[in-house]
Amino acid sequence: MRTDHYKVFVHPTLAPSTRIPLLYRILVFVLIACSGMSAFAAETMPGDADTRIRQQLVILATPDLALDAYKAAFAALVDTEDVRLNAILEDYKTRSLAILNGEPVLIPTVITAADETKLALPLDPLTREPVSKEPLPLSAYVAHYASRNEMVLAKKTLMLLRFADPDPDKRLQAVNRAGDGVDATAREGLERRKPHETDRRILRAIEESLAFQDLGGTDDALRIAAANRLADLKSERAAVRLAHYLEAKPQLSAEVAQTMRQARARLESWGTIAAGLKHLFSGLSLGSILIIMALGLSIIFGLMGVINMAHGEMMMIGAYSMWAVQQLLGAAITRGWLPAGLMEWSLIISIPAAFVMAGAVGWLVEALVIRWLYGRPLDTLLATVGVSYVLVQAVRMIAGDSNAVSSPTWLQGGWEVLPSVILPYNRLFIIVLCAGIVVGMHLLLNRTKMGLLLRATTQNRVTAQTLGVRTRRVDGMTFALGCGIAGMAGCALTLTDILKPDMGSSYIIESFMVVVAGGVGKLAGAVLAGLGLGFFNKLLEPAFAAVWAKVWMIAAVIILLQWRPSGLFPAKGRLADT
Amino acid sequence: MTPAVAHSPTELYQPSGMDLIQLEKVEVVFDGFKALDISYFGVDRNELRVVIGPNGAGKTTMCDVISGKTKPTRGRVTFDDTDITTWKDTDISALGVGRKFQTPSMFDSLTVFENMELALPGRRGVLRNLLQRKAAPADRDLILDQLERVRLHEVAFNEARSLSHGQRQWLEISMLMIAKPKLLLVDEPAAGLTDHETAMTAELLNSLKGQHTILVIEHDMEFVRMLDSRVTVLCEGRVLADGSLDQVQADPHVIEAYLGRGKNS
Amino acid sequence: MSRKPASAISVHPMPPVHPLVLSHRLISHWGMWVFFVVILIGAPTALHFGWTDITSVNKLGRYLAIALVALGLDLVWGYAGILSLCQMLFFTFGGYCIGMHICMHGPLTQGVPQALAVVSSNVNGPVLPWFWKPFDSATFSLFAVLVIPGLVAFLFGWLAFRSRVRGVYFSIITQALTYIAVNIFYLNELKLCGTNGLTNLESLLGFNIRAPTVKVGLFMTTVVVLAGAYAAARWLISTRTGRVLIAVRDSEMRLRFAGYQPVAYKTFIFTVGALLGAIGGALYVPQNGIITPAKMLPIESILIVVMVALGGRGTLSGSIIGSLVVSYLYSWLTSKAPAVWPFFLGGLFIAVTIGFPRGLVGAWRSLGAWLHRTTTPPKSTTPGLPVKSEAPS
Repeated sequence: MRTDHYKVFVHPTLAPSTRIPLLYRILVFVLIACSGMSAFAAETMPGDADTRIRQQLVILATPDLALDAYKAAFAALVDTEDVRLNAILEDYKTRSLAILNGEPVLIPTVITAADETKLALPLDPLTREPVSKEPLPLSAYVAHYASRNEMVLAKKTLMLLRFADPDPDKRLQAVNRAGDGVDATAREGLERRKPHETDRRILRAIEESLAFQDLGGTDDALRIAAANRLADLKSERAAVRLAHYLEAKPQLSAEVAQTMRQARARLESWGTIAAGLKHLFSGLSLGSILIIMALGLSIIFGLMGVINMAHGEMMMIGAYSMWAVQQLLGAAITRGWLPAGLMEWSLIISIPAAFVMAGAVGWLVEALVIRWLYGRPLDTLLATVGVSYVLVQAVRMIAGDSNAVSSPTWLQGGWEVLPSVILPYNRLFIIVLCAGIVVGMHLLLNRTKMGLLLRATTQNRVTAQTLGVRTRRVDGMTFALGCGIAGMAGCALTLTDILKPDMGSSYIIESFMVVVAGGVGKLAGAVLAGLGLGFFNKLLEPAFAAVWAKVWMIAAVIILLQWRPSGLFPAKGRLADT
Repeated sequence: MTPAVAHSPTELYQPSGMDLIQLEKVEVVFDGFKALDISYFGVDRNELRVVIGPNGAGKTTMCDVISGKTKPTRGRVTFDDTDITTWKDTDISALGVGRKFQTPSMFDSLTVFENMELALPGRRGVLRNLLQRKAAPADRDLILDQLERVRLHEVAFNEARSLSHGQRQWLEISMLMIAKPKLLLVDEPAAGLTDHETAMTAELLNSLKGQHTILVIEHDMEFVRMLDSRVTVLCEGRVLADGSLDQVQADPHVIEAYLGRGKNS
Repeated sequence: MSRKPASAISVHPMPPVHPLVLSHRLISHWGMWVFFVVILIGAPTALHFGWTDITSVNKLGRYLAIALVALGLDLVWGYAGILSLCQMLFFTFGGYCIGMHICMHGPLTQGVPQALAVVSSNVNGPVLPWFWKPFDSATFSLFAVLVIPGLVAFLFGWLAFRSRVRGVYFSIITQALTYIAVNIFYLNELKLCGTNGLTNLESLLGFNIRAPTVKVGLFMTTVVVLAGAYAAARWLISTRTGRVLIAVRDSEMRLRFAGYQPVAYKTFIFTVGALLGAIGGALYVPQNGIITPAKMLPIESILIVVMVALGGRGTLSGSIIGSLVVSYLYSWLTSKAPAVWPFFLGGLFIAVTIGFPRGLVGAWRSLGAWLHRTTTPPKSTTPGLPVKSEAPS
């Protein structure tokens, strides 16, 4: 007899020498294993969880129980952390929870029959399927008329459940609300949730709300600690809360009041820094657009001696190409030719499309208008003004006066670099795109053959011609290049600006300011001036109205010109006179 | 006073106080490239001096430095015993330096007569000139005389833009002359002229010899020969040689500079 | 005015002048004056006989006020070569000066002109800002029409020209200037009635500006002022200063080396142009009944440039002719086919700049030269005598 095999499975009180048949032992093993496993996995097996929820719901709907019984039922429900309970508890609050034949049901709608009897169709609380085919009279149901205490409990339960909601936005909302009152349950829920929470943002909110709870309490030491904690967290909400406490509750002890004041001061100074950083970032993104526009203008003016007042319209055409791409994609998707997911890529597709479209229009303009005006910059200024009016009206006739463009979802939201400093992804995209364009331009002009032909033609046309360069073609390409760049800027601009036929006019003047300030000698001029003016504009904006910021900007440019008449990086040497 | 052909700065004559214009240790650097590197250069009063040199030798740059259009990075420029190194070009021109540019620049929409009238000295204020409609008779005669010297009196009342290239050169020179400058800088006066016009231009400049100080920059050797004056040769920004045209043309260094060395042409 | 002294030309018998050439010359010399006299006398006469209505006369009066601006631009751009894209800024400033005076004598709410009271957000009722008060006086207002825009032009021009801002850069900056001015005037905080502008103007110097007789009077005043300005401009161009201005355009560098101060001349003519614009504005506003900051938008000043370009830059008469042509075309096209106007305007710009740089008056003069050439047998007594350019009109 092999007794050692049985030792593990058989109850120790049974004599090991008792001979039990093998089959019986196996059966016992299986049964115990199953029950053990089920006891182990009781919480993860859905069926069981559902039963437990139903059990608690029955308790809740049972009338005239002690408040503690209801409390226990609610607590048990909280432990389940089941999302469906949100809806069920809302129904509980509207007194729609009842018992039918020992099972919990929801009766959200009550109908009055022809004979004045009230009927209701019972729904299963978890599946929301009707339990019976016909609505049953109210007398068939048993329900507990929830008193105020129970309602409060239900609300608390909902709140605690929301702490565990899979949707992070809902969780955040619940956590933030938990900081509003001084509530032990809320506190308990927050403490309970803290170790499980993985989202950094929500963790911070939990800390915040806990600190708020402490702040509203009576223990001075805790309040001081909480105030300091909030200042450390750089909590935005705390500044307001602290102000409220300082003004509304004069019975604070001096120490507490002083700590609160200090904390508030720290938070306010952080707020200023955060706002400043945000403005700096806006300045950077505005500056990027200006740089791109100025780059195109610089290329066209610096290399060709042509003032392109229609540059803003080239940008507008690039923006509208985004619209056109989305229209085309939309039509193709509804017809089933292309998968729906492609719309997300509309921005990526539009950027080269914008370059091509704006470039093509630019090439046309050069061939029809500009070529007759070389050497006469003032005349090019006038003629391109005419071109700009034609373009605006043409686009207005084709696309109408106001159009909508949807941003891709992967660019929504922002990157929270520091507390309260959120850098929107779409602006980041613009900055990255612009940086890419600058680098690309530099490489194109200085490292490629086309760039070489371009520079050669503009520096000495006749010699270039004698060397076999097709200067007419180079002219067209140069202008198209400048316009294409503007088109790409326009495409990126759809992420932050409204699409209108005359959207170009608000950027053209600032872009020219950049060219004037930066000088047309080098790329660096456009970059520096663009950044400078972008920052200048955005930094002044909070202090003055947007218009005054522009005034100071122009004044700054004029003053700069006093010191450097041809911009920061003027073209030097013999050619500067031409 | 004319020395034998000199090769190095130390062999050039020492500055005498009589030089109207002097460049001492003047250097001009453009973006790392040394366009001018002159140890000493001076032009006597009432002398007609010709400066020649291969392309890119720095002749026009030297003119720019004298007229104040370009500031030297180092060195000193003295005009009529006044240090003008840091002066503005308009101030230098007010001192009496007249410059004729390579491409004739005049007022195309105005008539030849009106061009000359504006070049007359005096009366520069806006409001004073509002009171002036026609030129005074004395001035008119002066202008017409001057125009006659350059054979332009017959076209005096035509627009300046209708003149031929040669006529434009003469008009520009006349406009400078009528302002009675102390130093006249003439940058390639024979450029684009016919042989006949070239000869006439040489005649014009020779007629001014001894009455004005003139510095001529030129390429055309025939023209230079017609001027029959002292010649300075510039090469790569430095003074290479100095003397009469025959002396300079015989100098092996100069020949090498013009015909090129082996490695760079 | 002849520019040829007898001593310089070899005398030879004058060939008989063809009647066409003669009539061309007559029109060139006297055309503008005849035009002024005709409309000065003709318009009220036509009105009296019922051949035209007061609206048309008023319209012409307004367009003539704008022609003053164009005249100023021709001096600044056509002669001195400075492309200013902010002439309407001075026009609007002058208009506002007169407008504010008219407002002060119009319906008041608690001492504040209605146009301003309407946009006031003061809880206790509108308050009259300090800078409005002087405009109560007619003398001050008339002075202000000249002084304020003049001062702005002088300071801005001097600053810009002094820093040797190159031609194209200057144009861009003027455009930025006018764009900003619009936005500043739009601000309600400035107490200049914001986007509404000065509205419901009623009486000037005791005259009800809506009465037909007053309108005719204003019309005639405008004609006289324009004629006077035209005469003054002709005189200015004939002086030495005028020639220096042309020289500034042709070769500023040469002029500087000749010892002139181009900055002084440019500032001078820029201010003159601004003054003409301001006077135009002051004449326009009583005839128009309203002035808004929108008149300072870049497009308005660019329209003036088209006017001068179409008429012929550097001709003075061209600016007036061009401005009337463009104004009437604008009014006709925007009522008939408003969607077409931008195409037309744009096309006009392009066409005039590329193919028609001398403008209408320039074409007229070329016609005169052609007539002269074809009707005069080629008989030159002195070999090599170049063809004479035609006399300016």
